[in-house]
Amino acid sequence: MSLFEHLFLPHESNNHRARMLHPTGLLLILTSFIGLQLLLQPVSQRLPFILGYASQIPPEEIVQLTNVKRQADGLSVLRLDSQLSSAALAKASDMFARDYWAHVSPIGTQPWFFITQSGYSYRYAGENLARDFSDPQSIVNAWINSPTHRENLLSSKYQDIGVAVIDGQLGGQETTLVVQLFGTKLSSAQAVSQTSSFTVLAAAPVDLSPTPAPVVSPVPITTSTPVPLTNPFSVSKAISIVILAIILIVLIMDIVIVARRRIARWTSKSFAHLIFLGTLFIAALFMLRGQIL
Amino acid sequence: MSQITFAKDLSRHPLHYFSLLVMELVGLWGLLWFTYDSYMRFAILLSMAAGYVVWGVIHHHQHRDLHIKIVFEYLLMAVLAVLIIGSLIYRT
Repeated sequence: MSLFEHLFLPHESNNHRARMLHPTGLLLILTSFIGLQLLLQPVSQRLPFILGYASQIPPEEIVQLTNVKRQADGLSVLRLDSQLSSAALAKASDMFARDYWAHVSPIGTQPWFFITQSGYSYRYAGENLARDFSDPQSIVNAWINSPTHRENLLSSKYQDIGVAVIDGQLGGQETTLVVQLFGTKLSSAQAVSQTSSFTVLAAAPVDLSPTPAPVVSPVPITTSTPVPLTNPFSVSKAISIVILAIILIVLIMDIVIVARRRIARWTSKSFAHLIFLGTLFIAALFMLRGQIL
Repeated sequence: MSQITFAKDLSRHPLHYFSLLVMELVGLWGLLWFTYDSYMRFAILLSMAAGYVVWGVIHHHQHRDLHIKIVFEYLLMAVLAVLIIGSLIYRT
């Protein structure tokens, strides 16, 4: 009991402040947390069946879910186009080869380059990107909840769609990239509109000048692999929530006991820590995996 | 240096704690709103942490009990929070 009191409760032995809340205690938590985070990467590489990355994202399901959203909005369904799909595959491969997460590559290659390279002559074209998601529904929901991606997804200008899903390493981290390309062929678009326009997310400027050919290395398309017990994000989230919860409980006990005993101390304010960490604890609870661009 | 109890501190500076609460709640809203924008979320997280440290310095300065040890405590708490939430933002 005395060790427990010393570590977690205000007591004479710890100068009326839980040892855990002392700078040395916080430093110990901090270094332990960094150590655990550093352990996750090698563990996931050596034991992928326990701590691994399992993305069950069939491209056809992305197309189907996209069309469901379009139909719900009174729009026509998009046709899966093989040229757009190969353009999406080339774009995703280029992102892994050049190690970037953006619409425009570090050497300035626009998404449209890959579309024209695939032989698809477009009047309208658009691109949505996603990474680190584990299922197609979450991806489409994330795009729908983002105004700019939603605009692409629910645009009446598009008639075709191409999707690529590829596993690889980006910035040293294992990830699954999803590239979704929209388009309307130059010939078929005549009936839709006579105006020429190009759609790109975040209103990036359209560059139709010749761009250097990207170095595309072949990357295997996601195949079905044994599903691991968990993934690094879930483990990281659990560790974060447990650490924050313990600190919050210790802070609450500190505030209550110090107020009851009317102890006057010269320290930082536990109530301020409680507000700060409390809001971040709520954020951690609702933190989701995945990024879109 | 002044040593006062928690109740006295709260009753003497309700506006201080209210401003900290509002600042952190706005940050929380931002973290939840920009769910899939990692750069924006990390920028918000850094702003929340910086605001919290600045709040601590101002609060203790007005209390006339500002000391390097106290600033260090706020900094440690801020770094720990940035690491914990940052690991969730950037962990795949």
